Amino acid sequence: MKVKVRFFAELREIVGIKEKILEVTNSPTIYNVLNLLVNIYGKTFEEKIFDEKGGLSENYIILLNGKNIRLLKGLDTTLQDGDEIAIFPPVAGG
Amino acid sequence: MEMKLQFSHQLQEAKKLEKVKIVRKNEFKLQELIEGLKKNPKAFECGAIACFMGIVRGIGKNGSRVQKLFYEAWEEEATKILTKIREEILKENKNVIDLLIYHVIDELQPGDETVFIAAIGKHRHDAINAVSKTIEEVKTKPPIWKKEYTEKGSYWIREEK
Repeated sequence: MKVKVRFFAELREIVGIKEKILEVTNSPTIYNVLNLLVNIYGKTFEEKIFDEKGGLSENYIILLNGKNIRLLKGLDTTLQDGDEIAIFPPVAGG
Repeated sequence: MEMKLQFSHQLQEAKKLEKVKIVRKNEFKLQELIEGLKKNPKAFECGAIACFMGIVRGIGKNGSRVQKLFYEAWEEEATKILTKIREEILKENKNVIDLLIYHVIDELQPGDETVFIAAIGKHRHDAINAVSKTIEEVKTKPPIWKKEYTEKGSYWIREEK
């Protein structure tokens, strides 16, 4: 199955693109997708996204189809074909 | 008959006014927006229009001179959230008749306009409070980011909570 991942602000700068379509085969969860991204984009990406204990860094927000995964099942949230994931740092409008 | 026509004209004008918008630099005119608010059919019940305009500060978070400020947004989502903020503020205080939120997403220089918020209300406190609450929400809710470029380097800004 395929999911779309969108990157913003400093994360967009790190990965060098605005969005990526990923093919997810085994256990389609947010955690799995993040690990696929770590394999592609390396340590800088990993250090931004994960905290020291391997959890989601409190500095980052992940939305699945517009909903914050912290209000779902966190990194264990499962994915469906065609899902859209947005990853970004805290916002700063105004 | 004449009054009916005038009312229908006002209604049309009020409809034309976009209440929430992501814009580029110099893409909106302050006076036109304020005039737009005054054309609201309920404007005759109001005694105040309060406005807030954000501008790019010339001194950065690092104390150095700002060269430019770059705004980035997830525009579709930001528009949705700004719309929700507006609806909630209007629902909270029925004495606020209308509210505009315009946010600039662009590369800006010190002194450039970044955000414009205006509320028309029955009394001054209604309008002023609505604008004040709105800007606090705009700073922390919509997916908008800004990167400051200064003489001593560049960095993404994080809002203090």
